[in-house]
Amino acid sequence: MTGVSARTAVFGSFLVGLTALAASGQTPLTTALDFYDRGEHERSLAAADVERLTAGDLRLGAEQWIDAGDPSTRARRRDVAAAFAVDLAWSATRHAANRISPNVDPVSSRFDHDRVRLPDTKAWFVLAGWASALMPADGPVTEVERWWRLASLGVLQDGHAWSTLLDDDHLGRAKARLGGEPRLRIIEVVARAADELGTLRESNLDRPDILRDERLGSAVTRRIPQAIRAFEALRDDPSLGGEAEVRIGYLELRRRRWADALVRFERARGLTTEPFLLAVTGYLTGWTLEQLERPQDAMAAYERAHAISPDMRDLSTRYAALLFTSGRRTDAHDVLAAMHATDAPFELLTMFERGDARLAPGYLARLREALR
Amino acid sequence: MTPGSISAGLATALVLAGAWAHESQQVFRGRVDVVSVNVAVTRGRNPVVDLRAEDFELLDNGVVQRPSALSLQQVPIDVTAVVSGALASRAGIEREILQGYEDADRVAALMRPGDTFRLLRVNMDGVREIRAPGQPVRRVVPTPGLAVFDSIFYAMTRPVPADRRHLVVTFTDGFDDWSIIEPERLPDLVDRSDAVLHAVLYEWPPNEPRPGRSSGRFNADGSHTVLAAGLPEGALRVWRASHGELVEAVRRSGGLHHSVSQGVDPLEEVLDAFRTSYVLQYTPTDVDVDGWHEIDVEITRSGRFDVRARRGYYGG
Repeated sequence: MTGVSARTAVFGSFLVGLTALAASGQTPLTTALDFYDRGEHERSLAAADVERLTAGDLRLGAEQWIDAGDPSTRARRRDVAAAFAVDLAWSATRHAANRISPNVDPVSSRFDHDRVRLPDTKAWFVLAGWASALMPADGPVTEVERWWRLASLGVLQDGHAWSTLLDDDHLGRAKARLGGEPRLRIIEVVARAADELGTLRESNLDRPDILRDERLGSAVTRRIPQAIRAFEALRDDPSLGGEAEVRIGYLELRRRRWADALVRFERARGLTTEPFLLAVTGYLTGWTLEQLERPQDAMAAYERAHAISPDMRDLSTRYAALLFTSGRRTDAHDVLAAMHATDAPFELLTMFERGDARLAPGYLARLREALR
Repeated sequence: MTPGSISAGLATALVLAGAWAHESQQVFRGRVDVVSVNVAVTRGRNPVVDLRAEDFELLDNGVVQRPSALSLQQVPIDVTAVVSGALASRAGIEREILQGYEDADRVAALMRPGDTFRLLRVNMDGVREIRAPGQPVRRVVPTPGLAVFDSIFYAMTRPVPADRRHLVVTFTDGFDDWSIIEPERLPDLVDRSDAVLHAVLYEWPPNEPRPGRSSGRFNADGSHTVLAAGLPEGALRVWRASHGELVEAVRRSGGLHHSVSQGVDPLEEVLDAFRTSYVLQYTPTDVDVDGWHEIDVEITRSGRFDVRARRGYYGG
């Protein structure tokens, strides 16, 4: 078969497939929703044609899919559509998880919300309100709703949607429905602090941070004490105390109060068992100790963190630089080569600054389980 | 055999194999107490290639040392090219350069038997590593910025046997807003590396004085179109800082800045400059082993010479 005739044959079978789909009323999206409804989650996400799907497509298609079902299944279908949407929004943005455009808020921007494609982190800014309305407004909170609301907030934090999260009442609705859920407290403080201070990365260009240049006592730095007080208030909850200490220590580091930062990190190590937080604590401890010119202690802290998270770009680079300057050049190369070999060198600090985004995979897993 | 006569197939095979036999002297292997220094000597812009060991005076922390060996063009080179994206005015230049160095035949024509070549591509699609021309590009997670310094550091950590020379060439405008390695840290890392760092600079920040050693042209009309493109003040500040530290790191390693010139292959220019430098070896005597060793190299032969060598090394 020639190349042309092979293409003709493939195109022909594609047309036949399209015709069959049109006749059955099935689209890739409705097929994906059917899979999700049956608990075939990975197959569902793979079927969704996510690269071309826009927020508007998803919303309209999901609403049609909900309406097409038997009225007795309507509530179930609303849950499935909302869960599918947040799951898809998360998976669609993994390839670009490091590529973030902070401060882009669709509420105030002039773009057609419906045309945002799913691989863009902004898509969930647009869809979260719609999907939230699919959840019950009153009555008892189901496990599906609980995990959906936490997952949705995690995905919003992943996209740096601080103001969307706070102002569009996503957090307010979650608090009204989930009541005393402790994660909501820290989600709020993290979002407010990030909205006020920006992330450290943002300080690279337009918001100079005292950590980058001690001559700059920037307005950002002067707002740090207020953020510290907000985290202090979380220490009364045993499930939040360790994370609150790490976050306070990080803020002390950002305003170059090395000794205060170390005290916080040391406390945090005794209060949390979450591996991610222990890795962050080790990384920030090492960074602080380097500022204090204690390279051996810094090395030990980096080693602890690296044993937990060997493929993080920032941790591996600082650790390797210290190994290199200590004369352990081959070890330095091995650390970096292993990190580059993973294909996914995210940044520990970036994940940390995104609050509950790190917990989104866990929330989504619980959501899927609750839907079964 | 001239460089140009190397068959592309042979050179590529050598590069891909990673292990090979070559004709260079094995004088360094196992001699951990031997210091090797790349020394480039020029008169005006022309390399001086007829010097003998007795023409050099070498001081290690102010103490005269006796060179035990001197070689020129005999020591194989491990080359890593770090090709970065550029600011607005030179956008696209990276693609032009990469197209050349992803071409195995073209790279092979520049290499000599025993040389190796590795390519690191740095842009907002992350850092991509191509261990040798013709091999698949590794997929990585995109980044929102340019992490040039992290990539230079990664290149410098590459283990290179003591009987080989280590050359890192970075193609960049010096703008770096995404590295974990702070700009001011790069010169110190270079001091602790055995690599010679050369920089092919697409452009210089506005109002930055250029050192006299640079050759070729930058912008034909001398204008700075980056400013016209509206680069914010914050970005300019970052550019000046990172560019300045890169220039300092290059100087301290004994390397050179180069510019992008029409019709000139910048890598070929760098290799020519590097190959016409001497490798001087000596066993330090009457100096403490540990700590920083300042190196001074002078030419005792009469005449005016420009000598370029690394600033020093850390012992112990």
